[in-house]
Amino acid sequence: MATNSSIERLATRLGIGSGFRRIGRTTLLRLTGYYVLVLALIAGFIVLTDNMRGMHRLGSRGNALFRAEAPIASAPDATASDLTQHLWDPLFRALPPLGTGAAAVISAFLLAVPIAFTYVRTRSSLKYDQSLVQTVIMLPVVVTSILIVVANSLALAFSLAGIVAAVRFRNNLKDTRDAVYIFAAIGVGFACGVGVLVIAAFLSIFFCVLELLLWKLDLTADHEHTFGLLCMPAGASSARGETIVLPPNPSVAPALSGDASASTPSADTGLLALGGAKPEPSDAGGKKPAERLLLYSSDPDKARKLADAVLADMAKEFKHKKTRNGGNDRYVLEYRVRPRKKTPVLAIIDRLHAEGVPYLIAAEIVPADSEAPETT
Amino acid sequence: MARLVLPVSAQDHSQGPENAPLTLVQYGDFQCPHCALAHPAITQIARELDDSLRMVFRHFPLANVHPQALKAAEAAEAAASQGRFWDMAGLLYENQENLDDESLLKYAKKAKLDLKPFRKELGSGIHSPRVRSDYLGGIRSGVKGTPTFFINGEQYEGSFEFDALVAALLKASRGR
Repeated sequence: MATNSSIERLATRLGIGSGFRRIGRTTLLRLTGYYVLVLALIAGFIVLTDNMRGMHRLGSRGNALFRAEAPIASAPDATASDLTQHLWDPLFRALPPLGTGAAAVISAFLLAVPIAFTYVRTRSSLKYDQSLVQTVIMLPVVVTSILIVVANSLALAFSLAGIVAAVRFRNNLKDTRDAVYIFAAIGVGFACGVGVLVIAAFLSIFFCVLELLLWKLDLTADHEHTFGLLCMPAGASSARGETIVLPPNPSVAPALSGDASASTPSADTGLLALGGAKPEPSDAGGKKPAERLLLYSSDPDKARKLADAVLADMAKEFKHKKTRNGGNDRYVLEYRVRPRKKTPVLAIIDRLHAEGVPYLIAAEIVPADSEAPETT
Repeated sequence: MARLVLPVSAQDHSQGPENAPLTLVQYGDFQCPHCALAHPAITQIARELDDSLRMVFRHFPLANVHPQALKAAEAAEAAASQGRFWDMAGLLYENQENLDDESLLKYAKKAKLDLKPFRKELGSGIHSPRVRSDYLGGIRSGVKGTPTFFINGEQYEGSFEFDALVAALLKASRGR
């Protein structure tokens, strides 16, 4: 392990693969103390505002709006200003008293702080994003304020949707997990906005505990371990854990050793106009030796048909030796080719490439005495 | 998991000690946007790991989708013949939206290359066989797109993000 100390150090800095992490006693004590204080404060708010009575609108205030619809519907000759008045008046009457609204906003802020604290604790310096910390603190305050204003007004809700749709948020999060913090902040803001501070407090606490636990245990970090744990019978080793591992320095691995076990999803590979390795010059005066032509193709039948036609036209002699599955939806066709004196083998390869798109991936000439690049 | 068929040799463009416990082989295309996105992470990893990592680059220009990739690869080879492959590779990735001949000369100048041989080599296509050879090696190893990484000879199929690559290197270093 000493030789790999720099990767171990870097991984530790990033908080990767180091097994169980320590949350730290100070963190736990501060978080617990903070929550105790905040919960006491929220309990005070609940008592003082009579369980946030002014904000429980789903029943009473919601009805205020619908109640307003009755006279409008029954008065077909109502003017536009009457309609507006009927729509907006219930809203203003329904807004909570200042004290209740302030209690909701302050609670949202107080419950968001530990979420931001958890973020700071669980992110490495390389992944830390200051704007996200500030967003997580401010977002619940804003969401709560918006919900207080929107209340149960359908008109305001539509206006809000229009405004939100007009604003484009184009912020790339450093880590996809950061989005969870944003959602948690919105959740806390929402709960405070509708006056259910108990739910907001529960959400904040539960989120922080869960996030710290996941971070500490580093769950699902190792796919093989997780796969074995979830998908294999107890006591059995992970099927994925049996993959062959090369020696640390691949230069000692046998060349052309290949592996057909890979089953990566199919993707388009661009075709490079390949000429292959330059054929070795023939012995002076001697018969030109046969070249070994390898064709890599996704469709062996089409490739064979094309190669047979091209070689019949351009080569002196040729023979199809074998076709084998090279793995990854790729087949390798092997030919022995004796080119004509005036037709270099590179010209054959160029023509194969020109006519073999898209099923011919590549063609090359390899020394006749070399081992085939077995991939099966 | 696919394996690297052609082992790393002295012919390859590499950074870091030959006997490093970790070897990261990249099949890349200078006009590939994903390669350009991965490049800063790779560079940072190479810097952080210093003597523990041997980083290798092999060409895999996807010529039918990236028309300037082949020329860019040859430009990098021309820079390599003056010992400045990595400088040129960095410049090509950073400016991959402009890879025409004129821009390549500009980058060569920026990389402090001797422009006369650079221009001559680029014009003659002398480095084309080398690029082809890398490409064929990639085909043999099952490379289907770019960037494709091999860590200690084994194909890496995860994300190209810094953390993910470090985690994969850590796993390889622990022999798992």
